[in-house]
Amino acid sequence: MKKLSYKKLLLCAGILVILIVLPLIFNTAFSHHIMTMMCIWALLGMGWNFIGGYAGQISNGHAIYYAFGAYTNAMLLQWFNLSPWIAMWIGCLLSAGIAFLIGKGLLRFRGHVFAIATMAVAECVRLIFINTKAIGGATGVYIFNAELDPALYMQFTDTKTYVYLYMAFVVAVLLFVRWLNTTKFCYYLRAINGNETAAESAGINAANYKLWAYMLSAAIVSLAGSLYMQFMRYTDPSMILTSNISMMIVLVTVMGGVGTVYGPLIGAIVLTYISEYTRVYLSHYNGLDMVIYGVLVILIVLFIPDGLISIPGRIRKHREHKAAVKEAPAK
Amino acid sequence: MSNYILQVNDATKKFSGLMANEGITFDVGVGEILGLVGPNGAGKTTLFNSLSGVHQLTRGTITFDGQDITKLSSHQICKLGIGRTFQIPQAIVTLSVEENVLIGALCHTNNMKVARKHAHETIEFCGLAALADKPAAILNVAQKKRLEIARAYATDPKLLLLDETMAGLTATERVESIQLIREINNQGVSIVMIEHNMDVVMSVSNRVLVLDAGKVLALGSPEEVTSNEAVINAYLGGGKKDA
Amino acid sequence: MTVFLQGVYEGIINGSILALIAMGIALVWGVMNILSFSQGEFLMLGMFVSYYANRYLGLDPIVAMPLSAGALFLLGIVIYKLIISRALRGPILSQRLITFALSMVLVYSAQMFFGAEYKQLVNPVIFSGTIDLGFITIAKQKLVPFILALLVAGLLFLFLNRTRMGKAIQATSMDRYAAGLVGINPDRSYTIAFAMASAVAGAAGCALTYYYYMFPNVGATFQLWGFIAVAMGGFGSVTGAFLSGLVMGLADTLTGLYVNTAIKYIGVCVVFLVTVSFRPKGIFGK
Repeated sequence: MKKLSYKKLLLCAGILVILIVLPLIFNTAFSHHIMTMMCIWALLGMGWNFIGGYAGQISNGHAIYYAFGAYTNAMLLQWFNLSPWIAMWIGCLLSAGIAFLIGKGLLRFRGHVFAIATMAVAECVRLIFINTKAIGGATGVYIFNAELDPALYMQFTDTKTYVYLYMAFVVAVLLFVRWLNTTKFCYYLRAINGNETAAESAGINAANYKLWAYMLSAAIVSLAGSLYMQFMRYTDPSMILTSNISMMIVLVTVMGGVGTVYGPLIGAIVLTYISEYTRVYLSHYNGLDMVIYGVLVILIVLFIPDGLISIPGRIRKHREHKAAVKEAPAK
Repeated sequence: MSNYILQVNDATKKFSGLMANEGITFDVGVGEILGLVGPNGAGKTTLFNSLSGVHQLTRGTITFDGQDITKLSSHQICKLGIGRTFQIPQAIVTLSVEENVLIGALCHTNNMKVARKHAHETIEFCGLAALADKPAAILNVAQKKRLEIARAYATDPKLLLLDETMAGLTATERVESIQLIREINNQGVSIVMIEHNMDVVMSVSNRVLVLDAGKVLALGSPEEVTSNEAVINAYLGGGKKDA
Repeated sequence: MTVFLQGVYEGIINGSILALIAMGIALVWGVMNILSFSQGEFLMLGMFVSYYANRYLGLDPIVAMPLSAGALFLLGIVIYKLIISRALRGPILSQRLITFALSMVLVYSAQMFFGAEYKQLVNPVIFSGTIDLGFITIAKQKLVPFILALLVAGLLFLFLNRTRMGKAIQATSMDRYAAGLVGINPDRSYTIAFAMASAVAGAAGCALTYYYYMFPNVGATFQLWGFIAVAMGGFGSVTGAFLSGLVMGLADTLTGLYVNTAIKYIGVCVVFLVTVSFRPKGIFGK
């Protein structure tokens, strides 16, 4: 199996300690809110990364699966009193199933047309949700119920619990992504993304693999939706099914580093931090927070096109280059 | 039947008005090297594309190892045992050399360890060991072509389709490339190679198939073909002789 | 029957705005292969120029139109030079995100400076009243978008095909490197193309103020429909975008007479997806 060196163990232990201590140091509800949202966005990014990063098909409509995850939790609770611990997995399956149908239809398109197609479908879904009274229509769904057992129904009173629980989810998914990154599946996706003709000529059924990647991404994004629902306890189509949300899912991944294992996590942390802080401190200027957010995004994407995760590499290269230049005149 | 690895019968490919291949019939024996020559525009790469499943024939059949593969797609044909290289090398530039070959090696196994070992062996065999961990993007033309061959060879093919492997290579590189092709052939892999360089074709091929304007012009040993009047006319009367 | 004809008329008007936005998107897409998320916002800015020109200068939108187009043209140049030209050096995905972030900046800046409330033209305008043809009623104001769309489509066509600059732009879009080799400055072509697209959107915004509320997020719906129109009409084809926009406007309004919004939208999407399935490059695509 894996060789665990002392260094790695120490690093893992260190990270674990930091994760446990962080919500205790920043012990306000607001800080916990931010940390929880970071976890949710990390999951969204990691999920989308499979279709957008590894497979290279830029879907601008993943809000669909986010919504399905959230609504599945809500409706299964309302209709069958089903615990979200079970409902979330049903949501994943449902989303994967819908992704199968949508993917079958749309994955034949590439580039800009694919992006537009996913946006169009997402908008359709939003309108369907708004017009379906059975699931709340435009008013949305609300699941808070003080009589339910907090643990069984994932409606905790202590915000710290959410933070720890969601961190655990993120760590679990991150380990899963790390493992998947070493498997044939991810290599094949990267080959398809790199050069689909070459990949096909090497025996790769590109259409199938892209579909699998799309379904997997839907399932993980759905999971994020379920967790979102349990935390916010309320949502409606205008909060969760907008094209802005879809684009931000893309943003989180790209800013962090598309196609990498840790990129989405980093992107989620930075972006959530920026958006939440600007929202709290600047929103009384009627929109200034979003302006700053937008400007920062433009700057980061312009000047760090490979994502924040590429910064250490770039610094290293810069240092190596400087060292090489220094040596040259001596010769 | 079992002597022929590939049998092509009346292969015809039409692109809305343009008859790229017409009525092409030939076969390839097991372990044979068949040279495929013809002036530019004769339809050689189109034929390759039909054989490897990039597109489908308008008419005709292709039988590989006893199985009808006319309607199959690229990846299915690869799994059955046909590998190919492309005229413009299609290296997967986002991966390293080793990973490129790994992709080929994963064709018949799901086990990463097994695939890596096989990729490693293939890289050694193809003389790419020194470049193994380099990104494919920095390779020069000759190296990229060799990488293509390695990736195709890693899929354990019974038949290898090589599209202008020699184009753009220096004389030394050509010699090395020919050697690699011979070694692959010695392992029992049949080869069809599109070539413009007649020296290469003469020295390597068992037989030569000449195409002109989409049709078969001649099929026979290198000596027979080069002394064929129609072939000489096709090449000297307006076609290109040497790339 | 009259309802139907009225619907046709309204549909064409609706489609004209879509056509205008779509032409801008098609131009930018065709020339520099960027999916511009900001066209809707340029429309919105055009609306605001026209609104404020009307409120403080008493200008009729049609008079404000050249003003708006000019202002947006300049803005387009600035945005191109500052942001887009840099974005073009990076990956396509980043380019899209940058235009998306840009659209966010524009929308929320507008919200900051102009407020989020719905606004309408204040001072009286030249074109008011209607022409009653018996079977349909033509609101004079609503003729403006249609005439504008025709004008712009015609001008763009002439520009791209008959002028040197226009042909240079076409050449750059086909092969940037080769165009550079024959002495065409690709950056210049891109700047002009981008600026023209924003000017067109700005003019469209002016036309829209006659009969539409303006608010910071008004561009969003038009944006998505514009995208769909362009994808259907054909990658890079301005004519395709024009026709597609009209058709979509028609389809939208006519089905809206009989069916509700969600189904109407789904219908359009289905048409879109089916069209693109059979002709992946769009109806007039290159």
